[in-house]
Amino acid sequence: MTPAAKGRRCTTSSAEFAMDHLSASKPRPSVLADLDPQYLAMIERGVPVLVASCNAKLRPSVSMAVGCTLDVFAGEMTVFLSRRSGAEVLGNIASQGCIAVICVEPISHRAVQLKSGAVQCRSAKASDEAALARYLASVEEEFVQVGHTREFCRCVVSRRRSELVALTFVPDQAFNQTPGPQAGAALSSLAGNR
Amino acid sequence: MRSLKAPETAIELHQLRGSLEGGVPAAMVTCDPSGMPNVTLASQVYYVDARHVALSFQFFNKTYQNIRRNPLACVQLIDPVTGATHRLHLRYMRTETEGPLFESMRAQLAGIASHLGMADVYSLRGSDVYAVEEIEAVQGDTLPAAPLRQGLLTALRQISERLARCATLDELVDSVLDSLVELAGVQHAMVLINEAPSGGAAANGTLFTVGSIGYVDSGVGSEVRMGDGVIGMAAAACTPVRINRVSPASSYNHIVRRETQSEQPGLVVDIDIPFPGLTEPHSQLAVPLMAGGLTLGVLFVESARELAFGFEDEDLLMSVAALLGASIGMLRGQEEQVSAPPKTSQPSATAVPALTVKHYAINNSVFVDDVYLIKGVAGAILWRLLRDHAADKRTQFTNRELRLDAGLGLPDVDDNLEARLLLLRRRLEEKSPHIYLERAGRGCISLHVERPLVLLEVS
Repeated sequence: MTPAAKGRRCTTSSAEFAMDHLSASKPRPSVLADLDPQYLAMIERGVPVLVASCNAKLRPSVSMAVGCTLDVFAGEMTVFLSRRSGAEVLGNIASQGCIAVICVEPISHRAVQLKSGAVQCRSAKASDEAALARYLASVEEEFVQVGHTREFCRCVVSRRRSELVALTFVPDQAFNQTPGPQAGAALSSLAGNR
Repeated sequence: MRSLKAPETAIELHQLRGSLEGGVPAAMVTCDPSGMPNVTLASQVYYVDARHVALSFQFFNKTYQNIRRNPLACVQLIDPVTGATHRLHLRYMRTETEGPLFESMRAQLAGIASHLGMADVYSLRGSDVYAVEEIEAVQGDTLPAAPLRQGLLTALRQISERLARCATLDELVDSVLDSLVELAGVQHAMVLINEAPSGGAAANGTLFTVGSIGYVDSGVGSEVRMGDGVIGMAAAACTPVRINRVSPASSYNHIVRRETQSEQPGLVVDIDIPFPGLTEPHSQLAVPLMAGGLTLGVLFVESARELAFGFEDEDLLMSVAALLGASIGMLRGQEEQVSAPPKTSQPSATAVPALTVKHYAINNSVFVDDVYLIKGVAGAILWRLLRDHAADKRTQFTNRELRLDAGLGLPDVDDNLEARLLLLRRRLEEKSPHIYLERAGRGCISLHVERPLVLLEVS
């Protein structure tokens, strides 16, 4: 377990994630309430999202999300990963509890990164279907705008629901990741020097 | 009983070069020593060799901090055609801040930056080189791959056969340019020769155009300074330089395009033959011509289209450049030092008006009837030939006697005489067809003057 993982938690309702790093510390408040509405709108609309984690030996991995929802009222974000294509990322999150996601608008390269040290994992449910379909349709449109086909997009992000895992977390750090000298700048006063 | 399982087919890094072209931005993850990941978009994932990639280091950001404390990183690549996704698991090795890799990436980044509208703020601080420890194919559906580009190897074979039949530098230059157009789909190309062939990286010096194809004006004789633009950088750093989105504001597009002052003989200090390149190129690729460890020049192609040149084009052009460089090097070694009997001739007619040839000693520039022709060593050579011709009607000369003439300013080593004579021949063809040079056997040249000459020395 990495030093940071000791103070973080990943809880699960699914048997295959047999871990529970309950945090002794109080969770930090969500940055979503403070996030620029343009970023919230971009994420809620549905843009490509990448999910990153690392294992206890500090080996990082990354996987393309196949779904993403925001609950601004609750300050939560949920990303969906495939068990097959995102196995390493899921395993890392299960063991270490840390997550970083980047949401990217392909046409403008505008990007925002959100991080958290506490993640809840569960299998995707039938009730997630509508959100997943909406996300896929929006991301297809994003790819089409930069010259790709819908078929291309479905290869990159489409997966069967039966193999999906939902990762819900309260982002407590946000960073501007739009390419340029300002990339990496904290977007919220809650964020540390990440 | 243990079951036998076929080993998974190993993926080679070169198989992913299509994914490294930047069609879909790559994502890069690092993590700090506490285990918190950081994910960013990578401007460039550059193929270094079969086991290494390099990523651009532009800003002192979180990635910069992380990899210097924890060298492990992961990059996700997506093939822009098939959608196939791969993860490269990387280990940071070093940062290069100069040299071929750095210069090649810096030029490429300039193209990316202009595409992003970031030309003013993007600059490469270093090339972070990573060892590729594992290539992981991400499971998922894929689209059919683009059909293999047919005929690149066949084109290379045909070009190599054509080059093998060439006996002179003229033929080599023309053959390679014609071949690129006929066999490789290139529309605009040129060959530039290094005035003073150098070994390794060279900061100073000049390249001059000896042949071009696909331009309104040939631009033969136009010069590019070592290190300037795509061409100058390819020569200076001995590396291919490929930009697929050239911005007018790009620092790589600053080859001077002065509408020449050469028609004004009063101005002898600053004489430029217009560079023949496209006014608004969108893709450019320059590769060095090398032989025996020396940079002999540059082979350059460009296009008005964005994304015109992929890695396969770069591979082909590098192969053609290697053949051309070797062929030029071989010709230089084969040149015989022949002593030709001095032949003389009489002007063919006396009724035609005389040509006034002015020579400005300050820079050896030569003007024929007030039209700028040539300068530098090539200008000095022409002036020497014309003076000898005026003195005793001599028409036959040898390379050897030119080399022995200290007044011409030829370097002692690697004088590049053949390239200078080629340049001179082509400038005469374009600007003064009544005076022309011919090869008269290996190591010999023949001067033909079809009109009386008046020679004026301007000191």
